Amino acid sequence: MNDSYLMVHYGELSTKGDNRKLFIRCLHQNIRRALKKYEVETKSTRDHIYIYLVKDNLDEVVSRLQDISGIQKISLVEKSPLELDKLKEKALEMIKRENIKTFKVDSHKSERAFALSSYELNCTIGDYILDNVNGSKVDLHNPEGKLKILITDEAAYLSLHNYPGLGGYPLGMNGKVTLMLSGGIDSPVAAYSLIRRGIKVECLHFASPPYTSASVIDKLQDILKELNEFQMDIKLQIVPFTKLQEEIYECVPEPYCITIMRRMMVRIATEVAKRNKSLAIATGESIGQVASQTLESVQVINEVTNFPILRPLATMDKLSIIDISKKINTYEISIRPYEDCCTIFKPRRPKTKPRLDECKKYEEKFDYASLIEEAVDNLETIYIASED
Amino acid sequence: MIYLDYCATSAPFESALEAYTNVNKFHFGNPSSLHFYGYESKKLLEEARTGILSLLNVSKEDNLIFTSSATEANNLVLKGIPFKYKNRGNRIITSKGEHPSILNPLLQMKDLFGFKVDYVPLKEDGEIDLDAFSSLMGDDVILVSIMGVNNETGAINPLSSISRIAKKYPKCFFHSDLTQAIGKIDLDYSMFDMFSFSSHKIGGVKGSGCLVYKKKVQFVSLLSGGEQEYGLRSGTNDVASSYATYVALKTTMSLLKEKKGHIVELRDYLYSKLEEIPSISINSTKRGSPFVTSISLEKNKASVIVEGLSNKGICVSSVSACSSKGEPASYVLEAMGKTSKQAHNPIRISISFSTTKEELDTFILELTALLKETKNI
Repeated sequence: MNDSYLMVHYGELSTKGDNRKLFIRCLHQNIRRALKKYEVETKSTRDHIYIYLVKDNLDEVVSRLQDISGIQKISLVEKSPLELDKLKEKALEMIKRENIKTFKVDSHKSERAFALSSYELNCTIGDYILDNVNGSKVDLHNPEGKLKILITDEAAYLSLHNYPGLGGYPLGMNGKVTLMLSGGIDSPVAAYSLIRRGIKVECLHFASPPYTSASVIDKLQDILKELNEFQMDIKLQIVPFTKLQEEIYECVPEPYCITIMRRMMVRIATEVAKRNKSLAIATGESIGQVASQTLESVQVINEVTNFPILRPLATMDKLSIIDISKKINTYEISIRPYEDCCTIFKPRRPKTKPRLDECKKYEEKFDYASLIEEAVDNLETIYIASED
Repeated sequence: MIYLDYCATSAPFESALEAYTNVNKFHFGNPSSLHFYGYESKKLLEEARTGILSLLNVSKEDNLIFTSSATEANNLVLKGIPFKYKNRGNRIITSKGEHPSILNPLLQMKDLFGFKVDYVPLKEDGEIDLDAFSSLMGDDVILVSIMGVNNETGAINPLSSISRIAKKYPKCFFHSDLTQAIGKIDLDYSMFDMFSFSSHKIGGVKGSGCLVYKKKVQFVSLLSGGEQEYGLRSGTNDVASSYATYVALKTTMSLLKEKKGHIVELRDYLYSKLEEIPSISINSTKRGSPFVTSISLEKNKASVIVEGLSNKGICVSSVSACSSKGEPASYVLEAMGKTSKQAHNPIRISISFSTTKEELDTFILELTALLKETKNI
């Protein structure tokens, strides 16, 4: 693996002007932390982060990098000194090693001092390969090997292989949210979407023992362990929700139970978000999926908070959500059959168009404020972190 | 923890665990090996085999093979017998109250292999309807499989009458799943052509079961290979588990002799306490196994109460884990003619020789509190 590097291409952060340095530092930190156990050397520059592989562990390192947000793509590159003869030899060696017959050379220069223009460099290297590899041909449209050459001020980097990254922003750059996590299929996907966007996720789960099973907490921990691939430590807080749920059941007519329950949950999430210094609440709601997720319901439920509520899955359909949950390995965990707070109340005719004045009327029937305070004061906190 | 779920499984007896460890440590040889060390294991295996047969008082005409579970033993009977004797007839009789390890293999025999299966209905008390059984019998019946003690209700089936009726049909074999009966009630084991049981329910280790059968009975084997266990169950013998089963059975049978009265007293005490709670009904009867008591909740959801008890450190069981995809009902209670509410909300309390009156008191206290506190959400 001598002279082999991985070159990390920045995601959308390259458009970020003055904040660029901060973004790069954050991504570099995230990469170093994620690759700690792989014994690599890393170096960040204005345009790329370079990762030097000390051991023969390319596949593992690339696969780990592909779970880190803020990376557009990863190239496997070989380094050459800025001398034309050595550059030609390196290019030839790489093409020969991979037994490539049709190729294309694509050079980029960030260093003006190099004598040849990009076009001249493409032609020179291409000629050299044509002269030295029997039967080789240039194919600009569909080549077997696309040789990329990047000229920087200290060296040239040549690459034939790229790996797609997760895209988005480096985790932590875009603040923190409190995500309402039920354990179903949607909320873990919402967590993934937020993390991919560089938003750190803290989770809030509503538990109603004995109506809900204690096994749900194990299930949540299993889900979050999968999400640890993308965010290495995740805080999970569990809200004791039984008393509120019982009061709702006592005081609210059946069709309104879910609406009022969601309003209580959002009130609690707002308080927790404030305490945790989160900038927003997030949910896995998808518009129209169930009665409490119609736009009418969303509006009535949203009314209880002035915190922004992020709904990354709002416009996605169920099948696309399931596809992502399978990709991030949470699907099989999510479908384990346990009750959660949302499945206890199964009104025969839940309100799909709840009215705000009705909600307020029912909420006057019980002292929810002190129950909310009691719930928020008795949160249980668990940290789920990846082992490396 | 207060453990009242001994029908699900029990802790291994110290003596059984010790036997298990010792055999694994000092006699790990393969009983099929030809050297002295294999031979030592073989001796232990045979000691366990004859030991169990003689504890059950069936040593003359019967044989025993060790399996991985009662489920495996049941499968061997329900598949191995019809395959072997299909020239005699194609009808099998079982009851509506059997364990899934009986019902599901028989469904396969019906759906995949074209055998006819008839189901004897249950009476209100959970025992099979003997008249119905009698009228279902016929010359084309090759196998009757009816359990000894029902695992949900503790109802004891009229085994000697069943045996007597079955014996009128010389082409038919009588098998009984005695998993909840063995070591729990007194039985004449010679009345069966075959019976199966599991080790971990009587203080042995998990992953071990037995099939006892009259030597005249032949089977098509399910596992072919090295021809262990008389060619009926290939696979290297687990001598340690088999020996632990022997030790556990010995222990449990002597406990039964010594403490039977204590168990009946405990059961009667439990009944008297349960009868004071208005919102439950008792599905079991005092004629059934004193180790098992089934109740149904008339107002609350059983899965919620079981979860609530679990949160207080008390283990009992319901039909199955709570599920958001429709609550399952107990088919046994349905077959006994219980209401849908009762069949959907049963709780099974199963005790052992080590259960105390104090434990039952705590259970009753917590149950009563939970029934009052929890809403019928």
